[in-house]
Amino acid sequence: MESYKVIGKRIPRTDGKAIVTGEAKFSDDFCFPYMLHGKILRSPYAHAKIVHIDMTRAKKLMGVKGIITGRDTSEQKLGVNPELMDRYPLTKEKVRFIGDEIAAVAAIDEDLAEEALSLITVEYEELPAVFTPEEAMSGEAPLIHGKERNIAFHFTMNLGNEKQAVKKSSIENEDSFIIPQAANGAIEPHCSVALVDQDRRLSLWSSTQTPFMVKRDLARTLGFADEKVRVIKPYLGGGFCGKVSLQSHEFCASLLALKTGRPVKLALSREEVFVTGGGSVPMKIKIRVGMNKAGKLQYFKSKVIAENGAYTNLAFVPLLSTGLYLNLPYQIESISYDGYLVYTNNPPSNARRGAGSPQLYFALESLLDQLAADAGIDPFDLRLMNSLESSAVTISKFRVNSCGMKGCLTESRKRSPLGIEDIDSALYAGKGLACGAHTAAASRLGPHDSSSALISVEDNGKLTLWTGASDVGQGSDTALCQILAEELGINLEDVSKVNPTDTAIVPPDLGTYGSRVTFVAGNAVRNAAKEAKKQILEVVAKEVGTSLNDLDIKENKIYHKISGHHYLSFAEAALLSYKQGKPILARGFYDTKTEHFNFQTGEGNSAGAFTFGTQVVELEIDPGTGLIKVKKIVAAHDCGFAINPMFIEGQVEGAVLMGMGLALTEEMLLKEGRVLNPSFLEYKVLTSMDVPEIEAVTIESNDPEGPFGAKGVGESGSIPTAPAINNAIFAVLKERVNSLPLTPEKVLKHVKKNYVRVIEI
Amino acid sequence: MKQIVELTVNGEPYEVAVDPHRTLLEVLREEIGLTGSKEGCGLGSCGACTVIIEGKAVLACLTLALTVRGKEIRTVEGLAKGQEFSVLQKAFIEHGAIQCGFCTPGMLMSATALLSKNPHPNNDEIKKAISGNLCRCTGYAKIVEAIRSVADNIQKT
Amino acid sequence: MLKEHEGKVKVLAGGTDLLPSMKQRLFTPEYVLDLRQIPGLGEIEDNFQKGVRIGSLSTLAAIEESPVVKGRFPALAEAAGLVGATQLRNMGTIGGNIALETRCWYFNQSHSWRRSIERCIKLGGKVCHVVKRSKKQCYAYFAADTVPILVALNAEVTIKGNGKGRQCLLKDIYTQEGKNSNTLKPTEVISEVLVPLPDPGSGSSYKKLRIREAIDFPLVGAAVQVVMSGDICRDAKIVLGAVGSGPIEVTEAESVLRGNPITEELIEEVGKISQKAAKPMPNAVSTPEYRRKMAGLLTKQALREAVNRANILE
Repeated sequence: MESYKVIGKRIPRTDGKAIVTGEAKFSDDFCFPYMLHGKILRSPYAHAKIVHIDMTRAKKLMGVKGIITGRDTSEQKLGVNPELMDRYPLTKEKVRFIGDEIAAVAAIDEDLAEEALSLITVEYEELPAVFTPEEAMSGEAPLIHGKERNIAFHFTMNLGNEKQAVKKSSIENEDSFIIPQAANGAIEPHCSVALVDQDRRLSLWSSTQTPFMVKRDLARTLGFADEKVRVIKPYLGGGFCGKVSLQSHEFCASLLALKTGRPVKLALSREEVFVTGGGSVPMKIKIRVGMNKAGKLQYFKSKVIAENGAYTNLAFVPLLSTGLYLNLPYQIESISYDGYLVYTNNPPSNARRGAGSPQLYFALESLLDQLAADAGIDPFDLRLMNSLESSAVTISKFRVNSCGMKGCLTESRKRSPLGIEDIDSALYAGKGLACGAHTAAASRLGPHDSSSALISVEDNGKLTLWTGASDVGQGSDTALCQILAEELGINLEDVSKVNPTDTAIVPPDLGTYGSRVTFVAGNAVRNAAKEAKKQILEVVAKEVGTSLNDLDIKENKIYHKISGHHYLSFAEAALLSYKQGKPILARGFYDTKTEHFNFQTGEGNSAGAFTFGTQVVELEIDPGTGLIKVKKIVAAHDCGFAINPMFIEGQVEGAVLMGMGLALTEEMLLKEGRVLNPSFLEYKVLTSMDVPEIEAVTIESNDPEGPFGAKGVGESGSIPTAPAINNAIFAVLKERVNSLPLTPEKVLKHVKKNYVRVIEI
Repeated sequence: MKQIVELTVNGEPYEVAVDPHRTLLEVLREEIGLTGSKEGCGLGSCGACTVIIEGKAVLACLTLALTVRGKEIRTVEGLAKGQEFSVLQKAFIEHGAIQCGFCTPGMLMSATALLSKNPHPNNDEIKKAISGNLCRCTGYAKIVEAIRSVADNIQKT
Repeated sequence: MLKEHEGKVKVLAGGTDLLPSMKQRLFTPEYVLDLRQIPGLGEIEDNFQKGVRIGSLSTLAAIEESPVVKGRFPALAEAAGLVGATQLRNMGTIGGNIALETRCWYFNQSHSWRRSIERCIKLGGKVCHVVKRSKKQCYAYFAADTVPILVALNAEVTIKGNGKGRQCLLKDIYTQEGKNSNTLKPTEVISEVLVPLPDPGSGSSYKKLRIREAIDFPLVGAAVQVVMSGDICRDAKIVLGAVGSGPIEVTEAESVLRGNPITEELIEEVGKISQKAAKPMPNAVSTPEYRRKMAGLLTKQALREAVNRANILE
């Protein structure tokens, strides 16, 4: 057991001071002289042709400095998947959802910009609209993008031998599950501020999780050379997948800045964030599972209809997840999967923390719970006997190098065992458990899946870390510095990271999504630290006349490994490096050892590592109202190695509450293409008064590829909660509610009519 | 038409010219330049704009600036005395109560208002005091822990 | 001043209802009159035999914490404490809660959201998006938490305006219609609420149903006051909230209780009557059917608690 000096420690965030004093600047906190305010004109129709846009009155309004429409944009589209780029930053001929971006205005203040919007007259020719995927796929619905049956993406997967697997199954069951759209709900609304300098170089401050992606796409959509575009990600008030890749408002702010020659700030209102920020992909999942008498799982068969909405954001990723992650966390002989991503005239869906895994495991873990009940097997035992272990290779060729699934199960069972004595139907209290898995290092989406880092050392021994990795609140800035300090044998206080993430200054990183930062950027930083160590030890070796391999650094001192003799402090060595004309400037790079995933077969190890988790939920059901009161959640999640245990707990605690929201209270209510609840009042994000006791348990499976064994865990905690709650409800009521959220009204329908009346008092 | 009004923020007087419909949040952020108080929703449902006026935690996004002339307004920028942070600020950092940090200013103000009135709240009272402050990152656990640690340590007078 | 700018001015108390409405352009007054400039409207005074006088600008937090209110009318203090969240209670006033604008999915939306639908009756238009066949009636619901219990406690309001004042039962200012849901003229303001001393043997309770335990308006509210003489119920007041365009007094259930011992059977009957009296619409979370059922359930819960409290006080 290694004893680490810096990692594995509960160290507070190094940038906490800026946040608690209000100094930390988020996108909307930036103001520039002569700045204009932008607003977007949005479609009031779900589906219509744009016949004519008349801007004459708006242009005449004093204080309005610029107006753009789809006419002012190129043929370049938004999107991360080259096969699914179906959206212009400002729509050109048709509007496809209520809220679709038609035009943008820049004026000297927000009120004037609003007024200008009301002076733009748009003539529409309304078209029939379609609001459910089933209708949209029926063959009789209007085509939204000209794709047959409105199917944006169809993915099938047939791995293993289904016939054989079915033969071996003596217990089978199937069920259908409905998961609606849940919003990301980051408390910071999207905002961008664009500035063009005298060399016509564009700088964009934006609330984005992926500054380099935005830079690349801005250059492309604006027809600019890459080096003329600079994107800066300041402090970010939460993302949860809602702030990934180029967004319309970022484009509009930039183009308006270019046209007016003035800085332009475009901040979305909370309502706009709810409508256009997307959320989890609504899905209907039908799943069938077979297992043998002993409880060994044999096959999974699943069909998924997922709603894309009017345009493709990230929704294809959650759809893929519902197929690919059937390979985790259990050994399975056969998987057959059929998934459709369908266009409708509802606002575009996106991805929400867990990207498809919360939907998948809600279905799978609820059904497994049923199978356990059918077979009379303890739910923990069922999972344990089927769990993958480290070094497993799945039938889809995932290389599961580290797997803490069994550890998660054992630890959560220890802390919250199930047992007949725990289920008290008279008091309507009970427990349920569920598992989940997800990538712990994103997925290979393009030609590489990498991160780069640079370290420079000043003549007094202080280090600067340059990395494109974006901290979205998970504490990665601090964790990366911890990795650096540990590898180099120096104090954490001597390390500072360049902030904000500015694409003109830091080396490239794809961004923060898919829980990739700890693993990918962490490895890049560690590699840079190794290189820095080599460089400084070379300087010292030359000076003291010994071999590089005889030296090491510990507690800021360079010493001889065998004799223990201290030669120089790190600071002295740093100064020496300057005197020798070789100041330390190290670089590190890491690309995950993955391959492109094969869209035809579903095979390929597309993620560098995977995370696993188990949650046990203890709850009470009010038999009068159907309200669920969650008392306690034990959440055990595999993070490989906890670089900072306090951050891991924080991530899990927050993720669990998001999972609980998905399970109980969160739903975007859509009617005829309109979001009825686009506010924090009517869209129910859980408050401090709703929280249960959460016990976060860290499981360390020591990933051989992760930095010091670490891998991502940011999304893991949001996955098992909904099925665990559903299974706890089943433990009490002996009936399942298979559509989320598990509202009191839905639960009440399953409460026995003759409940004990004494409960009411 | 704009009116000139003097607002006392964190003990300092600021003279600003504002239209009657401007909210305190807008004036703090845009006229005075104190961007610590945040706009999360603009309609009073998230608490990110919480400030303290005459000792009470209130929402700056629903307060018209002209209505608070002459009143003591405290924002997150006024919690520290120079380099000396308040015990709550320190506790938030130490206990990992900060993730993205967007809700933090509002949380700190609600917690500060609570502890000035009730120095020894129990967990239920702490949760009630921050019930109007939404947090999407932390699950509230470490925020309650941080406030609790200060409540436990305040010298009983 | 209200008279001078009639039609162009709105009164401001806590701002927690008016400001969101103004930001969403539901109201666009040229002037806003800050009532908090008027002294003396924020007091809570124990008037002993007469009852408790609560100035209309008393904040909900002040009412929640007032020893006078907690002592005399614990259910009122509890109801005030259930409104919204801490900050909202520090700002919101009892007058504002009494005069709370009715709510609806299709009304409480921003100006840009409402561009995509026809102007509704509440905004001066001709359609109701909730009850399609309605030509004139608005079905927006009244969601104030303090009003059902105030009505159950026989509260009176003093209304001032135009140099005159009038006093009436709080219950009488509600029209049960969603567009103009109370009889306050644009030139009038509520100046105080008088909650009369309850008869000996009284007990009261307010129950609120909501999805989250903070911030949310009620899905259903039920307030009950009973006056007990031993086992016999001498008088009862049962008032529902959030299931109609105004507070709904369930008079039929009240007469069923009056003069009778309160048995479980009677409580069940009261619940059924209350359920029928509730008139929720599909303009809030959960179906009207569920909320009707809950109106019945909450009435029973409030009734049992009111009876318990009456018995304890005896």
